[in-house]
Amino acid sequence: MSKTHELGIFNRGDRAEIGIVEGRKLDNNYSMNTVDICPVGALTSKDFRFRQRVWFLKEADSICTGCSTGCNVKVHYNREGIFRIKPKFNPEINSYWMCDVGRDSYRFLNREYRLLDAQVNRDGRSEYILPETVARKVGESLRTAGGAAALVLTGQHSNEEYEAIIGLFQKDLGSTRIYHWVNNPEEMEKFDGLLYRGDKNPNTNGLKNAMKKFGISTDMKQLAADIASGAIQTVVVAGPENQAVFPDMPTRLNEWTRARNLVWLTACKNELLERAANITLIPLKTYFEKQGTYVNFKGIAQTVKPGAVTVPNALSLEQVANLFAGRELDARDIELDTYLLHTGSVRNEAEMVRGAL
Amino acid sequence: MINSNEFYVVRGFQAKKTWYLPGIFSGMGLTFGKMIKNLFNQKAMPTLNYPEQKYEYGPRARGNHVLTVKKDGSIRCTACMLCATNCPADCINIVAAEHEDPSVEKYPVKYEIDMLRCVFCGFCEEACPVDAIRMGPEWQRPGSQGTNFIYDLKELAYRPSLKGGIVSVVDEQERHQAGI
Repeated sequence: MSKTHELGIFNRGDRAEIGIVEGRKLDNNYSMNTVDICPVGALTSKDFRFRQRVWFLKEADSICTGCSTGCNVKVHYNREGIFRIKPKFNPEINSYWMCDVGRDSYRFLNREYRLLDAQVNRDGRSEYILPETVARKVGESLRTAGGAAALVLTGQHSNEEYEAIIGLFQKDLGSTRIYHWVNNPEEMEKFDGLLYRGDKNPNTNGLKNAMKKFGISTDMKQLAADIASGAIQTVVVAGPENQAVFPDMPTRLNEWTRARNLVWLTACKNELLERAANITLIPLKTYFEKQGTYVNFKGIAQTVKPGAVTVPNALSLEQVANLFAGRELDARDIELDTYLLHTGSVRNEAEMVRGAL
Repeated sequence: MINSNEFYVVRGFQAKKTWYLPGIFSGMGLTFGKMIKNLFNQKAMPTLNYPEQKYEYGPRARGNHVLTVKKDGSIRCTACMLCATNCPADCINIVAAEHEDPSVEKYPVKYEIDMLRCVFCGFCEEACPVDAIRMGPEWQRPGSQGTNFIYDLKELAYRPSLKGGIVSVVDEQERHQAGI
């Protein structure tokens, strides 16, 4: 299928064996499909080998957010974490296959890669606070800022979230400074001929549709200029959850920290963000923790249900939009029947409120 | 349920149960009789001076777990997780890894049993396909504050009372030679 021809059947009759052509390695972007195919488990993936017994795992249907193809997948997890992603048959999108890059994209769902608390870096010190509290505070300052607030969106969130947050900025705050952060514009149209696409965001089309619906057409260059001139006071960035595919993050961060307030919403930890001098970090949910619709490169909209909760405190962009607008949370009830992963140490209410006091 | 109006009647000779002195004397007779018997025949005495003297259970008692070792002293366990799967108390925690030796393949880098969760049912022993886990007659492992009751590999396989480890009856090399 990968058209690389490493595998073959050697010898004949009852001496036939499956092997790799001499001097070649089974090392292409679709090699792990051999593991799925093998009916007897003779081939194992190095990454998953011995990590968990399969019968200890639960599975949930989801989609792969590694690129704009949006392969249908099953995510395997248990209380100890999320362990692997396997393809699920969908004749319209990925058939039975998925690529190795997509299979590796389960990592950032796990707790050790996640942002657990909201973090406020100001005057050379960091505070760790309950996300809801921070979001409410940021919302207050946003509502006073009004048109001087800018929103930067990436193609890694769901349609519902775009609607909520763009609606908030346009209607409640009256700001039209909403920007689409494209991570790799020169690679956007690349395609390897099978599944893997250069646009490494699951919902670029969804974001474009939402921008069109709200009649927004802006240029990122304008954002940098406005920050430099002081026209923009607050920048809210709905950052990517898969940060590895955003190579221009450090330069963008430098650009945006010049604004008076920078609010960065992201699911995953990043040293650069945590060390930035003037920043407010709010943890978001990943695609596996929330319900959302993603539009792939063909325009097929796929709705994903929440699988398991890794960081209970994290918010979805919809919830953030509600809190920014000063409303109460209403989307919380989704999580009630979802599976909660081990959260390490149990934190009590008093400890959570500590930061707010 | 016992009704408060009801009471149980001790059957016997009327004077012995209602009169004061006959009751005392019959009770004392029993106590002193036992004492004299025990003084002259101490071996037949059924009690023990507990902390100094300990009662050893039979070899088939389901006490503390023992991880057996191979002839070269390494752990027999293959980290197949069947014990952890079968465990009703969910007290076994194994982390498996690839062994350097290609003939061994998989082995446990971490094998922990939470003794306070364990119900000593013996299902782990039953599930084990390679005689890697057994339950021994040893059962007295008290501890004061700060004692770690989550026993690790070292404790389970090489604690001092095992004198270097108990050798498993299932030997991989012998099995290979026998064609199993």
